[in-house]
Amino acid sequence: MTDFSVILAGFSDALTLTNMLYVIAGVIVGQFVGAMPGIGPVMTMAIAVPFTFVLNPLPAIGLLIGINKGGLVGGAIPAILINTPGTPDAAATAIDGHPLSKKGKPLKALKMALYSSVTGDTFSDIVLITVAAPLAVIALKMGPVEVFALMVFAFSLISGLIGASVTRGIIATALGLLAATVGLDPEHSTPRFLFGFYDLYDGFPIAAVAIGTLAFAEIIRRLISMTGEIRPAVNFPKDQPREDKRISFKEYWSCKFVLLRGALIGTGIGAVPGMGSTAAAFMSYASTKQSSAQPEKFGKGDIRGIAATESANSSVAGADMMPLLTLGLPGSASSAMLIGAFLIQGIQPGPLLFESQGQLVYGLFGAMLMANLCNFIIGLFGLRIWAKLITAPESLIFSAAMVFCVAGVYLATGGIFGVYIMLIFALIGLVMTALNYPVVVFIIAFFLAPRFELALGQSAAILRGDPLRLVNHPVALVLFGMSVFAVYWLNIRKKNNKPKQPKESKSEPEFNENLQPEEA
Amino acid sequence: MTLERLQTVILILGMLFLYFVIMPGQIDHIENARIVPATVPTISIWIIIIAAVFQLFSTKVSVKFNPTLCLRAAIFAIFVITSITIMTRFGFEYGAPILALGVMLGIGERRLHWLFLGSTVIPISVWLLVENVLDRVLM
Amino acid sequence: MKINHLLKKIVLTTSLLLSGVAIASDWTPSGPITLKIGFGPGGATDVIGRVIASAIETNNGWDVIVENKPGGGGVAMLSGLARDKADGTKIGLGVTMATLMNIATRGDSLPFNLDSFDYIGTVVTSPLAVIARADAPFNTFAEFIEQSKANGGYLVGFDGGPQKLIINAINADTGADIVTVSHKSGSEQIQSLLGGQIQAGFGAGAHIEYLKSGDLKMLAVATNVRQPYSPETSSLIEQGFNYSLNPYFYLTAPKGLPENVKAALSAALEEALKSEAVIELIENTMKTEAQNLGPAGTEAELKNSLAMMTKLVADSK
Repeated sequence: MTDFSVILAGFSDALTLTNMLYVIAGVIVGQFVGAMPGIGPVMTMAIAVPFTFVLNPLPAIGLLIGINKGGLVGGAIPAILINTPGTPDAAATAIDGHPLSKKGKPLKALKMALYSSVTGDTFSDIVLITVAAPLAVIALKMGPVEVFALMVFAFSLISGLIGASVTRGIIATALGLLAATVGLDPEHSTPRFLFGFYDLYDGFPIAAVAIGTLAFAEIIRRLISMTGEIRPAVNFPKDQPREDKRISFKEYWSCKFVLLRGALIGTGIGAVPGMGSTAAAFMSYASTKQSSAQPEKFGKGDIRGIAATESANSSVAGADMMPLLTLGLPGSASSAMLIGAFLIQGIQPGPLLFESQGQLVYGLFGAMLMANLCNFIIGLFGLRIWAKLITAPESLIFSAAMVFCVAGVYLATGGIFGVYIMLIFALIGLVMTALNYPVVVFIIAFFLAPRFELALGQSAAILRGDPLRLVNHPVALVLFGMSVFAVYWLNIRKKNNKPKQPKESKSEPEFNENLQPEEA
Repeated sequence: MTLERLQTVILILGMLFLYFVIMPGQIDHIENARIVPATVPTISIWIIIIAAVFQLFSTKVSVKFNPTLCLRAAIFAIFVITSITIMTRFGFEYGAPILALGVMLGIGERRLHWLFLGSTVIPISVWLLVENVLDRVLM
Repeated sequence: MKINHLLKKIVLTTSLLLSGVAIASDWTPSGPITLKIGFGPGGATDVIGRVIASAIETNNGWDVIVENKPGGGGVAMLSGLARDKADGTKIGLGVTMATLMNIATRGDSLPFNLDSFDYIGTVVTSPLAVIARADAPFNTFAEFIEQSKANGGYLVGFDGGPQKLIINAINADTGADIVTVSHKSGSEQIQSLLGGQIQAGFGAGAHIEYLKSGDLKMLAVATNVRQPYSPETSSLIEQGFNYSLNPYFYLTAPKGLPENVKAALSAALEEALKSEAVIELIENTMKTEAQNLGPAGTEAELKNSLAMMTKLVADSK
């Protein structure tokens, strides 16, 4: 157990003016780039990492953490306002956030997203600070076989939860897996599906795939369905009653269980490297909807929908730091950037970190809590500005968003090749949406796939190809059992829900309903 | 045949083509290994085929085809690709304004001040920021 | 011409003129130099490349632009570089291992081979070693092999094709029945070792801290010479396994670089490696010191490594 004086010293290190300024700068930049479709915090962190070399460790990491956390709030802004997620994990926020915004209450939606995001983030930070060390011991026992079982469980949940039909969910999942096999295979390092393009050696660049299917496809879809007069991107009445512009404490408190569930799901998923915040957001949304007494209200601007997704995707960020700090393993693209920043400072994240750099770790925790507070305060001001900016005409918003996507993908992937990949995946996204296949399932499967394939190879080696050896891995067996049960249970729920929604029962579009072209 | 059935059939045929024609040439054949490079692609393709066959017979989802939207999408796609080609030839600072201007005109924006803001100020600011403040290469 | 590059050039040239310091070199680039890094932005190699670039800018007054060309540990970058003009304005930063393995296993399908480039120098070599838990009942790789045979095959982690090749070649030679387990990074292998999922693995620098803490030990170094942080650990070759892997970070340029240009670039690299920032960064990220073999040394090292890789590929079958 770390000495209490070390903890105090660490927190007081964090509270210097210099650190605070770097954290604030990070949060401002993070919220800004998060709100720009196509740019996002991961790429911004990648650009910032070389600059952090000249800084001291604490302000360097504080700046990057600020960007990352700012991005979590920022990503929800365009998702709510123009139905185009700024970061992949905000895709689920659009489901209820955008309809609420279209009802003329963008500020209400934005504020709910901000409050939920900060709530979830703070929750997982507190979990991280209090129980990271004991959790690390458990995590060390999670071998490849257990991770593989967990992946199977995640796939079974996602393909069953989301989508117009079970077959469409399964097909989208498998397509995501298939797309992720392009590039070197993890077992034998042989190239697959390159077609002579050496740029594909590391697979389709994640930034190009995510921005293409989620942001660029949506922009194109909006543009082609626009005809006639150019309108402001969002319209809302000037003399709006106060309750349409804010979230009362009563409204916030009514979501307390939704927020808690989201934060728990996000923290759990964040603690496992490679699961990711997009999956967490959708799992939280789907389970909130499943357990609600009125599931038909979701997708039409219910604040609980926003609370569920934002609390979950933001709580992944804090939990992501658990495998990073305690095991030295990056759980996501943004924590991979943080590992890079630690390394160039000469600090190696891992089990030894708490002993050798205890003061720095607690300084870092201090910076994280500070970033949450900054996120809240800056967010409150920032949302007003975004709500003003969004009254610009759609023509401006969407053409600018396109330019950002092209520039962002070019920078993130290191060349024009990535931009063409983005265009191809935008096309794939459009076709899938038009044919009613859930694009988000595809993208979540794509994100999870590399870890899945790696764990499959590892498990096969560890079990030496003999499934009977699984008896030595009881945790994995339980997870496999839960996967089977999940598929069964979700099917039951789907059938039971049907009579309640007679209008939708024909195709039961669920998540697709707001991905359908809107009437102009 | 409904459009729904048609797209499912196309999906099945596409996957069979991928499996039997493309995969052998694009994935190394490795012997004496439990997990080979083709393992996950093979599993994925067969899952899709089986699910699609199931879908072919059980489907209730109806898919609509909107020729006007498809035509507009095709025109947009050609335009976007053209302006990106211009970017690679002459630089982001020339291609991006063309892209933005074309998109704005294409959806009916005619007000000069918005056109100027969207097609000149924003792309050029992005370019200046990336190339000259961040010192990164853009095209 | 980009505004700030022009400005930077003017400032640098004037400052050089004013201080009366002129770097002795008969070559100045005709325009900005592009340094292509074979890895994505934000990682350790990216930062090393950028810090070297800025050291060259300060030392020589040249304008160096850094571009990331990720893909296959340098294969994508090299396939582009091979087509560039050999006038010294296009150079690349890569790592030997993945590239050499690709040349050895599928050289005929690549648009380049070792002769497609001229070599400027190396930056650093990563201290690759075979590691195990400190409480493991074996102390050398030779002992590990014996016990693996006796216990029906131990599990060994790897995080790259060449590491797997070396294990497979030793398997074929000794019948040790080792099972290889794929990983994403050296850190991940350390976790698997500490968690007891594998019996041995490869460390490329991340393991050094754990040697000091007493959690891990080294069975052998995988490089062809011993390593300064643990001079008592013998190499695989010394232990009777005739294989080695020397992952060098190196600078290269398209074939046909004029001699004076090569000399100027090589001198610029040598000078940059002496800068404080570069020394600190390499110590921080690689846990070792910069090591420049020079143009001829780099070329010889790559040729030797390729011969070794070809042998590994043949022996591992």
